[in-house]
Amino acid sequence: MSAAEQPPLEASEIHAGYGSLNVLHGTTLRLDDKQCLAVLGPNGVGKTTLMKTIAGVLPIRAGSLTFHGRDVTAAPSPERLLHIGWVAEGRLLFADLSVLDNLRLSARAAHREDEFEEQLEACVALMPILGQRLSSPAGSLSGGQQQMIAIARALVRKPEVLMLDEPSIGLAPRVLDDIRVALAELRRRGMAIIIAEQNTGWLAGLIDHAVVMQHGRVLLEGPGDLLDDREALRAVYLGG
Amino acid sequence: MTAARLPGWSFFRRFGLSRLWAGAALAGLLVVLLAMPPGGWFDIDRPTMTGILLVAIFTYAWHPVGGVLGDLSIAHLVCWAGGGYACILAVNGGWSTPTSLAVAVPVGAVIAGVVVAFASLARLEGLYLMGFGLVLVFLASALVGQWAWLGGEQGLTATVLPLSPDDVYYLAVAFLVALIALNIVLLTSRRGLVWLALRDDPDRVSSTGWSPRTERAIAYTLSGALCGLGGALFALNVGFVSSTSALTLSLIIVPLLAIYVGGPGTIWGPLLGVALFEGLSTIATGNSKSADTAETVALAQYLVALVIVVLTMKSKRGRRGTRKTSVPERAAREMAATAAPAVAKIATPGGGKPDPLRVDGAAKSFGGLRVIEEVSFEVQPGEIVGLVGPNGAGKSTLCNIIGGSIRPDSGQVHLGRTDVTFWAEHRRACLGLGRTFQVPRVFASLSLQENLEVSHTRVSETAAASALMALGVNQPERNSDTASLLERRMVEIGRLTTAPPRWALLDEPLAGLTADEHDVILEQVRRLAAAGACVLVVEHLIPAIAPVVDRIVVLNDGRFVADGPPGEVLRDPVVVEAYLGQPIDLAQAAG
Repeated sequence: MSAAEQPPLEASEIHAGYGSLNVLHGTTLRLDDKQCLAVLGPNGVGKTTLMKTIAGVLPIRAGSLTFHGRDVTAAPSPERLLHIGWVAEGRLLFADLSVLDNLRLSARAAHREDEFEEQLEACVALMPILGQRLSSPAGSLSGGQQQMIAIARALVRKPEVLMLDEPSIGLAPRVLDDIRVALAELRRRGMAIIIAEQNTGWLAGLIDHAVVMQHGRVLLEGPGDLLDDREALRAVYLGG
Repeated sequence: MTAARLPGWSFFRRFGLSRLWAGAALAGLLVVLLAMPPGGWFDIDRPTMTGILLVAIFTYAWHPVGGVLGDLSIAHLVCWAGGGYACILAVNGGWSTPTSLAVAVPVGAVIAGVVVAFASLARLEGLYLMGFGLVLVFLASALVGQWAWLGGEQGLTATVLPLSPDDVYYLAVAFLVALIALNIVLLTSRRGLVWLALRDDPDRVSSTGWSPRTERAIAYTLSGALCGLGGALFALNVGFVSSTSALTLSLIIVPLLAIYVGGPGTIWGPLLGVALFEGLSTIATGNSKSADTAETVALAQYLVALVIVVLTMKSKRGRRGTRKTSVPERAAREMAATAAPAVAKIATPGGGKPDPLRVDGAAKSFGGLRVIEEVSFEVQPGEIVGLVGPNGAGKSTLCNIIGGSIRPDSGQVHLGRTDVTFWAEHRRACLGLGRTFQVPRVFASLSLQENLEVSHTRVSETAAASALMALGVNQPERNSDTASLLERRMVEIGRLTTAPPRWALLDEPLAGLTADEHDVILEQVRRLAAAGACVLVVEHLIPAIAPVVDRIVVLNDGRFVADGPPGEVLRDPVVVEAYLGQPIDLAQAAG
């Protein structure tokens, strides 16, 4: 297979954690080209740890990670983040910088400054509200708008994969709907997307494939309609 | 452990923490200092030795704050100088020598008291505290230069010199030995443990029932009084005190280096440091036929210092060493084996009337964001209630409102019949509220068992050691940085079993543990309730706690959405929706 046919991201048997605490006990997942993959599970199963490990801010203790078939298990985080657009949990914006500066800084860090205007235009077309607030301090925007900045900040780096960690956290359903629309459009254009979520309700119709994690491993796996089986999900989340 | 690589280090550390051995060593030191002939050794004569002793006196007087508490309080120089000025003024006023020395004590204590009061009010810590101290020293120095009654720039000279150099020498020996003895008593006592713990995690100290503010005030005042007395002796030694002699920063450099290289919070580290920095350079300057020798020795002492610092860097917090438990391990093991119910039955004061944990209409906003909206609930004695809810539901905030680190905007918290809404954390702990934290907050400066002994409820060494062994933690006298996550969590649980709380608040006790380990923890939770405590468990791993809890309350968006037995609550559509989110109507969304 040529590199183009290899999956954009493949993690096999990944172990990772913090200090003496192991969180991931052999997590395996595969993101296919143009696929939107949901990583589901209640709090504390290792979703965020998995995102951090893929982004390279936590070391992989065992197992391997490949991007398009290329082994990046030992690659440093800045190198991986040229390929992965990571939208971290809690957004982590520079609250005192303007929206534009937040975006420009991200593009510069990824050496994509020459294409910045073009990327910015695409982001504004995708999420028009950002266009009206470019000069406002990022911290002055609403939660939903800040989530959009975080997504745009990842997109201006022209990533091959967009990776979102709990984008729904703290957002009202109506606000979430705007984000959903933006993500659906990205998916339609063929962007490969990973979404880690606890809240599964808003993902219906958006995702192609889902994995459900428990205790740092993948417990269930299936196509997008896995979400419809709420009883199975309920059993994982709440037991009984 | 890195520190063990230093030859003899572990012996040195153990040796430091047994009162018997430390006392014997101190007696030895006393004999050696008293036996020193007037001509001295290595060209160090008595007056020179007095100078070194005075540096050691400053070091040990400052150590309770500068080393044990870990506060770089430079302001203690002002106590030192204040003591010196007070003493010379008293001598010139015709007071007797003992009285002149004695007046320095309250002067030092008052100065330190004012400093700590201001530092507490302004919440000064770390570099800010150090900066504050610097400013005070410069301010005092400038003021003293202005005041004629203190001799202005020229300083204050005693009209009579009431003590001979030999008198000062013997007084200095006696005072230093007394200071070291005081440090031994402090570091082997519960109060010493509390002060060491304050350097690690002041907030966690509150939940063991001690007030960080009060303890800090005691340490500062004590240390200030001792510094005042030291300064008085320093002034009497030469019959003179001025801002350049007693208020200069160079006075605090050696004590600071001595404590941080020798080991802050250890008994002998400061002495080792003083010998290394002050003793060696004195020998070098006294002996040097050329400037080269002096420079070589100076270089050598800083190289030795560097080596010590590098070798002990990894275990920077574990430098104090561990105390060998005086309880034979076997005895403790037997005790652990027979102590079947690890938790003692809780006595209900004032008869058998039950005293629930009660929250009435508590609400809290952060900057306009409503996190908790008028939440009310009760936990009865003997009951285990699980508090669950998705991320961001407000569980931590509610926990902290009950614990006392967050004050609600409205509503009340009752522990039994007592309204504790406006009580500080440590007072709630003293009343009988026990907490464990999601990330175990174990004091790194203390051994595992000392982490239990530090409680306000007088947990004995034996009780602490056997409680930990009953919980499967072996060698409880170990430094806590060697403990695994389960062991650290067991230390948190052990704090509850040795000082049984009437109300227990457990924040995610299962986080990061395996299924087998869950059972071990949950068994202890059951025992707490069986002993009569009101137990509230915050947990994400709902399936794991469901079999143990009597009730589950579900928090979502700052409101309770369900309350009842686990079987019912976990099938409640509202709860399922709180976790999984509302299923969206695809047809509508597409439109």
